[in-house]
Amino acid sequence: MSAAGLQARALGCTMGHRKLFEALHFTIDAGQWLMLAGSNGSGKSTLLRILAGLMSPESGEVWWRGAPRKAGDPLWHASVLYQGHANGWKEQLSTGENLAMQAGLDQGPGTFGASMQAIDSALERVGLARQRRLAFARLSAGQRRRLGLARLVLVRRPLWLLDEPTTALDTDGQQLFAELLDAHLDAGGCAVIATHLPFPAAREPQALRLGNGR
Amino acid sequence: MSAHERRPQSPDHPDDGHPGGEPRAEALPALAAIAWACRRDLLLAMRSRAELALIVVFFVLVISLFPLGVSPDPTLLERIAPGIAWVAALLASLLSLPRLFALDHADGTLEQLVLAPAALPALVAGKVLAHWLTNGLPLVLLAPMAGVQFGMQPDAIAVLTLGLLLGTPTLSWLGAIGAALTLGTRAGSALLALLVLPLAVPVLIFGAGAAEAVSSGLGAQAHLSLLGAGLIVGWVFGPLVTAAAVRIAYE
Repeated sequence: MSAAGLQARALGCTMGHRKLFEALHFTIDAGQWLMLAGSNGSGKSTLLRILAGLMSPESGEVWWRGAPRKAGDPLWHASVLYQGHANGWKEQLSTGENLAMQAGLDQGPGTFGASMQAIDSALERVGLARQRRLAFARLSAGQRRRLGLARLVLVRRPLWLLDEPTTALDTDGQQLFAELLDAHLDAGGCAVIATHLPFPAAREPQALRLGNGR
Repeated sequence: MSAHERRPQSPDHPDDGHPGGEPRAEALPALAAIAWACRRDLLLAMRSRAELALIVVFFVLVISLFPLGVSPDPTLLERIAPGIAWVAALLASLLSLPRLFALDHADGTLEQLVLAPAALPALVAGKVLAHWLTNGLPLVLLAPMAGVQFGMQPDAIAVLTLGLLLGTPTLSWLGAIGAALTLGTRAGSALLALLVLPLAVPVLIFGAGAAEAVSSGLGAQAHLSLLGAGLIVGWVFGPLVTAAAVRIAYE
């Protein structure tokens, strides 16, 4: 049932004179995830940005739940959670403030004061409870990644588009991410994850290799 | 299903859509989006107060340079005071404009804004409102001081302040459009100045003209009406144009 998930139909993209990919097809149904691999510069991030609707592809379409997805459609934006290289955290704000701000944008204005509890528990889940009041600028690279995981805990969206979510995470962090991903897929979510590092997820991904290997 | 129990915490989100179920389509309403963006930028501005002080000091310095550079003659200074205040306000607003979107662009916040379930024009409007509150409003409040410094008549000072109050948001919108268009370009801030300064000329003419008209005994109503019209046009079309420009930056 292709209506349930994300579908790429004949996607193509060129950067300058170089063809990154063309005629790319894949289908991810509910509960499945796609692992994007490929060398540096092979177009993994570009593909994620195209899927998210930040960029338009040169050719082809992205379908979501049986209809072409349009950038700007609120239903689409309420379905997708995208995390690129830069996560949009502000160095001047504390860890908790950053997460609360992002949650306010993701979920609506009611979450500012109302669900500080939810924010606390999300931070606790990813092991940042003690850093809640610490300025984001003082977090380590791995802790910054963990704050990204806290957003995955807090904001529930059926489709995850994640760019290298496990870089800089320690083994515990990778285990934690795998658990979050498993729970997300068990609940019928989909995910497209660009990664170099295999991590211990319970479900086997579909694999897509961009670049020369394809 | 066991899926949800596997998450140790199950906070009661108001819109905790089951990932497999239909997501709620309701987006952040426009006013809430404006409030969110404005609140966030004000909070960030409060964390870097030195930058705010910079603008004010810059404005005061530029104004104080004119008597030194032009002439200490009081009648001449009184005549050119509105122009000085406006040019200084324009330059001061240019000072902070390059950072309006560039910082958010660099750290990925802008991507999240573009992808958020809220109208991008509303989010942009909130950002520009916060920018005006932190950069434009202080200049408006300082304008009477500048007027007194140059020995302007009280009614001319009032009109100058009113003109700045009407005109600086328009400058913010012109700058926001320019800042969004120059996102990701090298030498963005120089380009921004080249782009925005010519467009700001009408605002400058009518703003400075209003105070001069009062000083020379004519009414300032026509000038102020035109500034007000610019303000309305800015707030109506500015968000849409700026949002489009931000989207172009990601193409």
